[in-house]
Amino acid sequence: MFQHQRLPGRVISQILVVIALALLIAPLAMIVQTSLQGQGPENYAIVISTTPFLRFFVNSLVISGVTVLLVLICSISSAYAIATLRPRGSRLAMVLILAGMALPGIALIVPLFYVIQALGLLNTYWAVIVPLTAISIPFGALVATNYIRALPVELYEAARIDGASNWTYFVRILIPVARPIIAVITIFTFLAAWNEYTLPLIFIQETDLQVLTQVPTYFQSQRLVDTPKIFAAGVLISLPIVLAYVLMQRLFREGMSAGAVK
Amino acid sequence: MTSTPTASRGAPLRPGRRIALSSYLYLVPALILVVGVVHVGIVANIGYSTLDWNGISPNGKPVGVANYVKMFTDPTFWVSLRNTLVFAVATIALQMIFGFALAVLVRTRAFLRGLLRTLAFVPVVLAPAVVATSFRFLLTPDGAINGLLSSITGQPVDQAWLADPSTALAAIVLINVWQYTGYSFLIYDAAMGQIDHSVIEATRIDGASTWQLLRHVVAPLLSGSHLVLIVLGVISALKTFDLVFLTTAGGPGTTTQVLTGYIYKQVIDQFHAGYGAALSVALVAIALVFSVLQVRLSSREAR
Repeated sequence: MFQHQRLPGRVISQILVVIALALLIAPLAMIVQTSLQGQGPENYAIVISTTPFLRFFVNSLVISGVTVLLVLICSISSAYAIATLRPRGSRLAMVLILAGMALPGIALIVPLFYVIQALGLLNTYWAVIVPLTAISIPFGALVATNYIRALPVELYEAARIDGASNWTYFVRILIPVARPIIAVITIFTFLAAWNEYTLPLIFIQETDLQVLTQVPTYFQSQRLVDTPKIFAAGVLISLPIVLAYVLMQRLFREGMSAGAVK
Repeated sequence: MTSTPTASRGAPLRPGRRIALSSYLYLVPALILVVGVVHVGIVANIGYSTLDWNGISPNGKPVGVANYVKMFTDPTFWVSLRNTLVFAVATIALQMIFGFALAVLVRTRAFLRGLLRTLAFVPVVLAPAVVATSFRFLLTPDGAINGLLSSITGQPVDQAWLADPSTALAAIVLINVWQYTGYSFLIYDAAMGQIDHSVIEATRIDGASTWQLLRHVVAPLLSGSHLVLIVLGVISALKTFDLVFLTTAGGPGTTTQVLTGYIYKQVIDQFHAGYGAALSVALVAIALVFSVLQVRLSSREAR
């Protein structure tokens, strides 16, 4: 679009590109560099072997995986009812679901803390999964509803005329057709769950159940503050998600812009 | 095709009603979770906000609107609100300007523009908890960032960015801008990709400079993206907690305290659950306005 530039324009844009790259890369480079101070690459081995790092990794994976699954089930099925089946009152249901859209999780800690404690759910995965799922559903339901609404009406009508029940249509036709939006919701929700810090901080004190985002704090709570290890842990936590992004760039871009563009 | 009225009227009615009833089942899982956690939670907050309560004992002492009176006269509440607002305005403005510039730069013929497109989004996928913890150490007086600044400027820099009240909030804003400019870039990049090229060509032929083209043609065409980024920016500013909690924890003093951090402090650190609930009600009220805006925007574009 801006390819026909005169020489000064070209020079200026080249300089700006280099500055932008430097500003983006510098902190990343500093993080990696600091993680290698002291004992060098061994820092990474020490983080993995002397902390419950793998345990935290599994906990993060379980919490994120279950949250994604629950959010998918809830948002796709509610979107199907709201966009296609449209029983009386489904507009009200949509308003109720979408009301939670911009809600900061912290705004619910007083009731959550009381209920979770009363139910004996402190220090369980559920204490994180349930609230996380509830505040992630509105976004999923919104993008799924928009997606299903944009499908041709004939798709549903033809299936019904062919004798498919609502359930058969949902499982056999809608879910396969909705695969792109399922991918979008999966990425968006997984990223949010994997990076979630607040809910585990408040509801999971037991070391065995903690998640990856708590590892840096874990190092600081240990007597000695070992900066390179904190950075090595940070790199290890980020690696899977950065790798996933680099491998699936298009999907990530779609997933992250879905709430805004469509 | 002619059938008896009773048959045509009676037969399809029953399966129709059964279908209508089963349609509601698809709404049940989402409604149970959202209503059960979010709506019940908000209503419970309103109830708790009328109590003097520690959040643990089964019942608190009813105090009416005393918590709200306290809130409106609590300087830390106003400071938190002001900081949240300053954070929102500063991060949104900077991220929009830089995101827009990046979207233009990847459309020039500059060398390394492909790398820029990939790298710009890397910080966005990182956990704010990791980014905040890292910058906390990088921004200490003897940290790596001062080291870099010293070697660039040629004189020793030992600014305590996060511990100095005059720079702490600005430092937090800049960390956020570093992490999330890639998001604004992504939105602008997608929108610029849909601008009709002939519009650009026509403006060029009329002799417009690049600056005039950006200012009077491209920027106005992206008004939808500007609006989306402002609304989403406010929402994410209202939610910001990890970044502040893990860099300054609201300090020094209350100079960087935000609403979420203040709620956490009151409820978890000081067991003022009743007062925390009143603060939460204020936060929910603000967030609700922006929920409505986001849904409006998103649904309008889908149609």
